[in-house]
Amino acid sequence: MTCRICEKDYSGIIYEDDDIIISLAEKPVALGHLKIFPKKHYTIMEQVPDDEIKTLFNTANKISTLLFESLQAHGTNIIVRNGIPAGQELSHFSIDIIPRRQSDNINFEWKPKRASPEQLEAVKKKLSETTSDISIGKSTETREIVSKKEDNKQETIKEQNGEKNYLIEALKRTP
Amino acid sequence: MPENITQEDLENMSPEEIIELQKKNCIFCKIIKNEIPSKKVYEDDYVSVILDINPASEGHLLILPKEHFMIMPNMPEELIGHMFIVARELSQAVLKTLDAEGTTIFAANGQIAGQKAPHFMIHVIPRKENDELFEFKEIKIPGEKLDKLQKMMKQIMPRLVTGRDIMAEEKPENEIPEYEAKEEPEQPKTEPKQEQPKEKSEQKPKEKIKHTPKETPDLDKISRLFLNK
Repeated sequence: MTCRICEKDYSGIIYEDDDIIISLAEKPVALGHLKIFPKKHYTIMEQVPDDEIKTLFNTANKISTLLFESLQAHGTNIIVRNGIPAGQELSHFSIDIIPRRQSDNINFEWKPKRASPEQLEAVKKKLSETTSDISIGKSTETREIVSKKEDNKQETIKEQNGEKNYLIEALKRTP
Repeated sequence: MPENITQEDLENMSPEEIIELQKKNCIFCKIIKNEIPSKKVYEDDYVSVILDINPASEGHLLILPKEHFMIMPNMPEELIGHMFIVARELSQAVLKTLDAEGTTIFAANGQIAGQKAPHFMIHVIPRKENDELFEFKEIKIPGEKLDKLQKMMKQIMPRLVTGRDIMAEEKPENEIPEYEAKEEPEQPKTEPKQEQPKEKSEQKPKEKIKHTPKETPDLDKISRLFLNK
């Protein structure tokens, strides 16, 4: 499968180095809507290693600051659309940086739902099973998958411990 | 906003005083210190992660830096990196344990961008197909405007990303030959004129370095907006 970002088949590229590519968004929601991509191909955020996360989001922050200064934005949004249900457009991970202005017609306000303490407690319990395992800085299952993917052995990753391999599921769903 | 502080007081306050006032009254600082109960799902030395009590979807998480920062441009690089690494881990946790098919990682700087509280945070929002939580409405931008923007951004980006003015560093080589070519027809006429173009070409690169001073956004103004709410 070819990737438009890896092939540089994307209009509006404004910067490129060994780590990142910055471009005007092809489908902008505002004037000055920019996108930043890692140079290496990752499909979803879960695959991006620590160092690259640091570089990408700190650059996104610099760009956001720039938009305040140079495009008279009064606010900015930094958004990751992770997976097709979240609106991801390309098979290459990216971050959207969007300058915001008064009455710009952008509506990112979600309808807040009511959640009872019991419902919240149930979600907390479910999530805590996984979040208690978070050990930042150590290698995770994700990185194993990434390294295997680089060897083109993606198909050989089996569902482990009878558990649904959600990452592979997610990869199948991405564009 | 505390009742004993008037609009006028606010306008006379220094940015430092405003930030102090904000910290004192910040709900999220109180949540982090456990003075207000919350559903915490993760905590380390730098961040607390809680469930949003009015979620966009089930499992909507808020990543809060323990130190009070109003917007992301105020935050140190290390903390920004750490917060988004935590966001990645949580996104993974959400996909693994909840019935989600994707996630939206959302950060807003400023009220206009949808920021609700003056404590910067990152939202991790579990997504499902056709949940219609976010709409990215494409707008049409005239080609001329786009070209101008692209040109401007191409010029600024290298300096912004690397912290060095690559354009200015590279410019002298490109510009000098151009100047010489332009002035060449005049050269045979008189000798004094020959010196003028030289000066010009030496001065040009210096101007380039000067013309992009970096200023921080008007944080003071943004913070006042919050307190006026």
